[in-house]
Amino acid sequence: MKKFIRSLIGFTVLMAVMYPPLLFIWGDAMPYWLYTSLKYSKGHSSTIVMLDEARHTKNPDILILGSSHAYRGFDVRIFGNAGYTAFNMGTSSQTPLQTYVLLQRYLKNMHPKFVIYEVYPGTFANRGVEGATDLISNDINDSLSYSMGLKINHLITYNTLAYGYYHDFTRGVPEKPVADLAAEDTYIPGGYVEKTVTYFKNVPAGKKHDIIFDNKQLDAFEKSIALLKRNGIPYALIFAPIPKSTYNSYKNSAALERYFSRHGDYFDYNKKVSLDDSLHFFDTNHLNQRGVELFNRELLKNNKIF
Amino acid sequence: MLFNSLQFASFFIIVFIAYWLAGTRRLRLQNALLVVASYYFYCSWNWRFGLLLAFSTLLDFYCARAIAASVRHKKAWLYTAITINLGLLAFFKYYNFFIGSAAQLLESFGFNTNVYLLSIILPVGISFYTFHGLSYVIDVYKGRITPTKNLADYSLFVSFFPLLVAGPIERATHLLPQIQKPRVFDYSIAVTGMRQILWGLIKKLVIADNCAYFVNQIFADYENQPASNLVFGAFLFSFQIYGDFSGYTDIASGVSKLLGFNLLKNFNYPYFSRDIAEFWRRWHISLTSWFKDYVYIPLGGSRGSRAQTVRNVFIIFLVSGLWHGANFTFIIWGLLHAVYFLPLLLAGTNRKNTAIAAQGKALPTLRELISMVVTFSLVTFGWIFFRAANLPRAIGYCRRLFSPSLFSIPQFENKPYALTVLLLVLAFIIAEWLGRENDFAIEKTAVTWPRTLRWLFYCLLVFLLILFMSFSEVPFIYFQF
Repeated sequence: MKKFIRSLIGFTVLMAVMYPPLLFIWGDAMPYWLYTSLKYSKGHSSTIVMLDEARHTKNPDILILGSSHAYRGFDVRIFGNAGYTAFNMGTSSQTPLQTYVLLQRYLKNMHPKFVIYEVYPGTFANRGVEGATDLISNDINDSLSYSMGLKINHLITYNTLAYGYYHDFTRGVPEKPVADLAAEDTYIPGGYVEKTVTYFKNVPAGKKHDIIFDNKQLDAFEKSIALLKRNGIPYALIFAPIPKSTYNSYKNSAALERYFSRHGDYFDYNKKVSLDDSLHFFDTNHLNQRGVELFNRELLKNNKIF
Repeated sequence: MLFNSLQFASFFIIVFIAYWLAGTRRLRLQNALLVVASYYFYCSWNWRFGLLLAFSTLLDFYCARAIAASVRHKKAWLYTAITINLGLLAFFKYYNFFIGSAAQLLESFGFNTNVYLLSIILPVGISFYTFHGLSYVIDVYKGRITPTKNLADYSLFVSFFPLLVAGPIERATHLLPQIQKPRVFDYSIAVTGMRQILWGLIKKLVIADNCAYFVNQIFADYENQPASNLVFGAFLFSFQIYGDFSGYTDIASGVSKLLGFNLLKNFNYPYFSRDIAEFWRRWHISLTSWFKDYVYIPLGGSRGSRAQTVRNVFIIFLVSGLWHGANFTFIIWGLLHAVYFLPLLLAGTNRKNTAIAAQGKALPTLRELISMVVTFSLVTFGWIFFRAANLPRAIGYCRRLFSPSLFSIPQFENKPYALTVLLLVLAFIIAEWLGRENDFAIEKTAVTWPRTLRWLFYCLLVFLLILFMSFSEVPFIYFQF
């Protein structure tokens, strides 16, 4: 029995020692697309190029924050045509935990005149793993990445974070980052990602459910709002349009609205723009370019923002 | 409390330490500790289940003693035990199914029915421990064993936590003697147990749970998928159910080894079978042998006329299907296997393939390979009925399967994940093939290597487990039976 316990302890120690090198070797040698609990995919979203641009952007009229609903829903060219400089800092599955990290990293340097915070409720009910791995892979990792990882407390985030630090340490930051996007996606300077127009064909009837907010996300959201207020930057909370089939599946929409209204000027554009699930969206979540144009034009009429 | 949860890991570490600290000389204390741990484990689902388990245990314990003590009423005691055991199983598992089906049938003939269906939860593992108890009383009746006088020993036989909720279905002749004699900690057996647990976890978390992601999607929405996706779904379900159930068995067996017990083998590389008869000698062996010993042979087995033998085979497969669940899908699944089995029986070739395929060789012959692929395809087709939510959906799935889109390339939203799962399954098949002559695939792998290399190999396996494990909590499929 003593021998067994000794072996068990010995093996556990060896495992702890071997784990990081195995992880680093795996990350270096294996293709990024393999579906594992190490999700380090540098340059496989628009984030890397957008953040590089963000480092050199000063005082835009509008800074847009949020998930893919933001970077696929707010076309900076439309704002530009209306005379506003806009920068879209939306990242893949960005939850309030990632928004707070981004604000801490970029707000001071960028100092926008106004912030549009896209508050898709799904991101508040999400643990934030996917958003974290995108940010870890495509931004420079500092102590903020570490504290974000601890809050998420998920093996995928820990693995990606460990590899992220290793990657940053051994390779540094690329001088001219390039994003390897899907063929139908085009990165537009200013952070917007345009997708070739496709239509949402099989609209499923969304199953009725409650959106249950994650307390850590609420905490991060409230800290972000407090940070904006401390820096004297006005902001608006926008719920960008999603297909009606998805929108109507939320049973607690009124409670969500009450929560957001308590934290600033809140505008639900699902109630303000009349869109068709098939014609103006390309999946259960995202506007296609036609939908984006209609939504953005309506948004520009909002005299509390513009 | 799932085997693949941190909760179970903590529970087992405490049990393991307390069990061996109790000392091998204090057998009663060790057994009592295991009974308490087993009831705690079982009641973690629902404490009411514990009452049912206790009732079933007491019933069989006293009936077996009455059978042994009685001269004239042996049969009466046996029938009492069988009736109550099967009655409980029927009540919890089949009442709604039979009443609902009867009502549907009557309504189809124009009768008005107003049946009362019960909203009852199926107690986890009831089919398994009921069969434990039944085998015990029948064996006592047949004189194969003498009943134990120690209730704690018998309770442990029925409730032993590694096998309580999903088997293997143990026999008193095999497990009770192990319970009754002192267990000694054996280093090499314990290490083998750890290896088996690791392999079981890989099967469950890496293979089964990753397959489950696509299987659930495809079976839920088969109407809108190309036929090639349905083939992929059925193929993956074959590995999901195998990884899930045999993974569970490996963990159960490994945990038992750490406690000094040796459980019956439940799987023996079934997907390398060359015909359906061989498949059933290698798949869920403890259930197959249970039905053979307690149903098939008492019915006459293959000793009667050919027609009687065919009848007995159909009964066995029908009952086996029904054992899995109260649904017509399981009945059709069972009957389908009976139909697969029939030609072998009639040709007298059902015992042709007894040794593992390509024994002692690296690769199978072309003939063996074709036989394995055909058998696997038949089994996979059967799994469609096993997996489908109901019979109309199973038939719909099969109909759509044979459509022109069968020859298209499968389409998935998450292609990298689908490709990863496919690669994992292929790697798994290779690992199983290489280890097919052992108890479990990695039983002998690396054991003769120097310790440093051996440990590095296990480090790599643990690393791959962590890297590829699925994070969605998928319950073990056989818990529902």
